[in-house]
Order: sequence, then structure tokens, then C-alpha cells
Amino acid sequence: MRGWHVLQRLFYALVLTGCWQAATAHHSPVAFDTDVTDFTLEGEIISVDVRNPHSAMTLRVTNDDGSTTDWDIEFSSINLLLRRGWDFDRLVVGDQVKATGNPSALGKPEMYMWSIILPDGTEYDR
Amino acid sequence: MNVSGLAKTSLLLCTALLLAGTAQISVAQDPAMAGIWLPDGARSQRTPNPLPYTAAGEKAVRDWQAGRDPLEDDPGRFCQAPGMPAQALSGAGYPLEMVLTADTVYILMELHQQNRRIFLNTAHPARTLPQRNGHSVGHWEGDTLVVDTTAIRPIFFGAVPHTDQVHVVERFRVIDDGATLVDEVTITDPALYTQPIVVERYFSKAEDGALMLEYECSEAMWIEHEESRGFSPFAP
Repeated sequence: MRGWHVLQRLFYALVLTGCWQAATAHHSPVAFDTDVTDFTLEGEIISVDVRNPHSAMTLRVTNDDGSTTDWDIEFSSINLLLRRGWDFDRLVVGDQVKATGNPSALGKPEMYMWSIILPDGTEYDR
Repeated sequence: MNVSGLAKTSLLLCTALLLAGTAQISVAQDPAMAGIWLPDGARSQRTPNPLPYTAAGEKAVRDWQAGRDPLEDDPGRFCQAPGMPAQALSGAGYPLEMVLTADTVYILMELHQQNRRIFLNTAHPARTLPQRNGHSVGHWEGDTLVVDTTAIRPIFFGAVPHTDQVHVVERFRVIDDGATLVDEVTITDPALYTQPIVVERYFSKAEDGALMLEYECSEAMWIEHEESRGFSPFAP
């Protein structure tokens, strides 16, 4: 049982520190540096959730030293993306994609994505 | 017919015409206004920046903001809709649907699933409950829907901070042969502003078959809670 309590405490620690399911966060616009619009990441889609008010995706990016970082990607709402012609079925977990948008204003591994290029070259924006 | 009979007939005729005229005024409306409209951000005017604050108004708003963290205390994190008058000025790209009936106009806004009811040809009640979108009454002036909104809860966030003295008048009309809806929004709040804030908002008629979608903002908060508890929020 002691092992269970340790896991439980670790679980709540993750929750309290915000490390749990970072991709579900909904950020204020001031969280992003809107002066920089061409910040680009290439990585593997780990999770994606298209919804209101903002959609969320986790992108696993390989760093120069070979390590990986899971980036918290926020993007527009399901309603607006649907009207802009996005096919959500094409955002596939495991695919390598290129995302462009605003970086975090606080230096965190987060971005607000304005466009994405899929493996076959299809580009969706806004 | 004698003179008395003629007078009675004339009186009846005049009364009938008067009633018919009154009825026509009360139900006059522009049916082209009904339907779904998409914001035209390129054509719409922007909310003035800076707003025409009085010195005291600017200080009050600045003091309110000073104690808050723009990230942690952002009302958007809690899915707070701005309510009126900011709701009328939103350029976020979400459509609205105008539903016209003889005694009420319903403005159904996709953003934050806000619904406004415009009660026609009546006055504001003597006592109103302050609400985020206030209490709205309206009437038709020909093809223009004039809407008067009061009893708005005082809120200092959103595009137009306002006190409980805020008063909003909107004039909706359809132009461009039915292709465009324009809403001229006039906001007054003598407790904060030196002059009325006037903004013209434009909307384009949605294509046939366009649909309003739901906007369940707080679902993300619930999902986050469920997952933080190790649950899967939706039924398998």
C-alpha cells in the first residue's frame, strides 16, 4: 500500500505543478509573444484535441542533443477551424508535422499555432 | 344614409384605419434581417483605443487591473463571457443568428452561447435585475431595429469596461441588397467616459445551409478536472 501512496502523492504533485496533461491548458493571449509570428516547430503529434474555446495538441520535438521535449500547442477553436475547412481526421497521432505561430512569452515549451503542414504537404492555417 | 349615419361610418372607418396603422407599426420589421450572419472584421470599425476615459474612470479601471495578473487572473481562463456591451463588439469571427418574431427579437450568438432577447414595443421594467447582457427593449423604425439596453452588470474586463450606469443603443439594419447587416453601437457611461463610444459592426449573410454550432467553453475545464482525477470524461 505504501507504494500506492507514493504514486498517489506523485500524481497529485504532477497535478499541482501543472505537469499533468499540459495540453489541456487554456492560455490567455498574453501568454504568447504575438510580435513573433514565424516561430516554427517540427515534431510528432502525441495528442490532439480539437474543441472550444481553443484546441490543444502535444508535439514531441527532438532537440539538438537528441533529447525530446513535449510542446504544448494551442490553436483556434473547433468552430472556427471547421468553417476554415480543416479536416480534423487528418491530424493523426504519430504523424510528423510542422507548426508555425507565436512562441511562449514566458520561455515555456508552448506555442499558439496559426498554421500546420501535414506530412503530405497539406497546409491549414488560422 | 343620413348625416348621423355618415358620421358613425366615418368614425368606424377612421378607427379601423388607426388600428390597422398601429398594428402595422407594431409588427413592421425587415424579414431580410432574419438568419445567420458572419462578422466582417475587415469592414467593421474597431473599438477606440484608447477609450475616452474621464480621469477618474481611467484611474478606477487601472486600479482594478493593477492588482491582477494578466495570466492567472484572465477571466477567459474561467470561460467568462464579456457580456454587453463587449459582446456586441466582438470580432472573434463567430456568427450570430437573428430570429424575428412579432414581440421579441432573439439574437443568438455562437461565441459563449450567449442569447439576447429584445422585447419589442415595451419599456424597461421599473426594477431590473442586473445581468451580464442587461435588459433590452426595441422597436422598429421602418427597416431599422432600434435596441436599448440597460441593467448591465458592472464589469471592468473586456473591450469596454463599464459601470452600472452604462447604457447601450444599437441600430440594426440590412444593407447591400440583403448581403450585409450593420449594427451601429452607441455606448454611454458617464461614470467612466467623457463621450459616447460609437462603433459600427458589419456582418455578412451566411451562405444557405450554414449552421450555428455549440460553443461549450467550460467543457475544457471539466475535461482537465476529470483527467487530473484519472478519469476519462466521456462515456466509452
